[in-house]
Amino acid sequence: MGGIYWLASYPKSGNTWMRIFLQNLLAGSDAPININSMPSHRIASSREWIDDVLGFDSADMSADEIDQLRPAVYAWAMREPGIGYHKIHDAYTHTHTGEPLTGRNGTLGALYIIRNPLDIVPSLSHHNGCSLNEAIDQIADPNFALSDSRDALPSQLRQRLLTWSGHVESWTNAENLNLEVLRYEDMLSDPLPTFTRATRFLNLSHTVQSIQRAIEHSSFEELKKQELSGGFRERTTEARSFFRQGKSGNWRTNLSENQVARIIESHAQIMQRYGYLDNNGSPE
Amino acid sequence: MISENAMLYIANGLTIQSELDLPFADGQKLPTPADVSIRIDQIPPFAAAGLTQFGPLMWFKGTERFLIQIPQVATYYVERGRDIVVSPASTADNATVRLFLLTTALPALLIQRGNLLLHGSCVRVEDQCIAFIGPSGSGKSTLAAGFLNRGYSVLTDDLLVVTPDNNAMYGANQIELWPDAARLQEISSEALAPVRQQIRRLSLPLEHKGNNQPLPITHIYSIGRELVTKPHLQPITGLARLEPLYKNTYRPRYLQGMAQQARHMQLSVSLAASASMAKLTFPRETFATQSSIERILADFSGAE
Repeated sequence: MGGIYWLASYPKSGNTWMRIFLQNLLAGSDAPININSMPSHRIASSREWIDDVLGFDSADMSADEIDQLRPAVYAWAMREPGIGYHKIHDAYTHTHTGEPLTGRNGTLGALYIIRNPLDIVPSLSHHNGCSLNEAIDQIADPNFALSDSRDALPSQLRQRLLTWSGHVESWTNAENLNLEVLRYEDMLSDPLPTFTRATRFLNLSHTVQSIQRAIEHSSFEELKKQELSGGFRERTTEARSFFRQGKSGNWRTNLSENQVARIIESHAQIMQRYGYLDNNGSPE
Repeated sequence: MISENAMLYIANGLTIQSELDLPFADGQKLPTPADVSIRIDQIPPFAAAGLTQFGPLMWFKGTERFLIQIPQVATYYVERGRDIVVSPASTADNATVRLFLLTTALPALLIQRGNLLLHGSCVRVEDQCIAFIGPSGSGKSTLAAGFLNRGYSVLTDDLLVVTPDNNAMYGANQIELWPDAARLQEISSEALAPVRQQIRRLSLPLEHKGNNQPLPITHIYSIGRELVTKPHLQPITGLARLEPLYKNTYRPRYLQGMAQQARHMQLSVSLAASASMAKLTFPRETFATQSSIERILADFSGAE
């Protein structure tokens, strides 16, 4: 019997880093895994996965039509051997019949990674080759979706993200979902306890040493070194590099006062809930 | 019994009598009974007996029977490589029922008959043919349309049916293009009909004749869009030739359901041994179709 643990996040929030950590943990090797050898089909929006399980091409259906069938694909994972750890950027939305997009069956749990939106904005701007103001608009747009072209075939299915706040709320308020929330900032500042919490939640066998080693094998320096020497296939055309700075707090040098104010205005409630604003509403 | 008004077609080396209009070469003058019959009817009650489920919507009994239920579209039942029964949903339009017939029931029938099916398009060059294989969105149809623009014949688009003696069959007489790809080929979208109203992919008609014979596949290009500025061609040799064939298997789960993986491997080995293979990488955004075609033709003629 199988099932799925979702590694869920808004884009540019540390999901790839977590997947590389898990691949290193599962590999248990003396050397870091090659970042370009990670299985690419493990995102929920993979056409290859959806098409294989459904037995027809998602390209032959509209995005709305295929969304109605996605729960059945993930539920089928219960009937396949082995537990899967799959990345997902979709918000936790529902089909027309009220079924969660990820299905009622098949989901064993979700590890939700949250990152300060003040830092997401410069990262998104770099990744997508858009301005900071466009990135601020994106995370405030309730209709924003990835891979949303209707005039070409994106390699992935459309992924509705909602606003950044809407994304966080959709996952963290989901009913009957086995959920663990991690902050990107804690993965950076307090890696051993934070990655240990993730590992325990995902029910993976581990020792302190194996987690420590996987953390070292997925360090920013290691990932940057690998990208410099062999590239990284998840980099977009627009971005010069995927692994950029691996820090928190970069917004202080990247965003104007006005831009910070716009982000806070749209997302204050959720930012405060997760410790990104102090009691006075000022950024931490 | 099939209706007397059923149309007669020829495609993929088979004569096909169908109650549904199909984008295949006209076979009106061919003798009946045809190799394949496609009826619109209720699924027979015995169809589901003894089937094993291999996905949320599909069931198999070896190469004898295949059943797939596509919500809001139709249920398709395929028996012994000869008969297809289509039971459309009440709300489904003909174009939609036809599209899913071409991409589910017909491929299942062709596997039942022992063919090798790949995600590929194929173009005639002299008395041979060149195949491009790659996943959805990799640029197969764009390349095929580029060759068509240069006056070459396109045998098939997206579904490449290979006979056991490594020949490519003439398939549907259309190339399916997304509007962005049509624009790249300077093909006007307005003149073309969408393959179904719910999506914007367009049908670019081909002119297949009824007497087309299969052609030997001598060159196979495994294609992909990557972060490069110009097309790059790299020969694939030895056992590595099997990997792109395996990765571009059409509907691998059908093979699993029909327990045909071993046969598929035999056919793939035979094809890999009979054709030259190369990996063709082209720019993610622009495709660089013209220079890609020139690289392919130079490779074909041995000038590379």
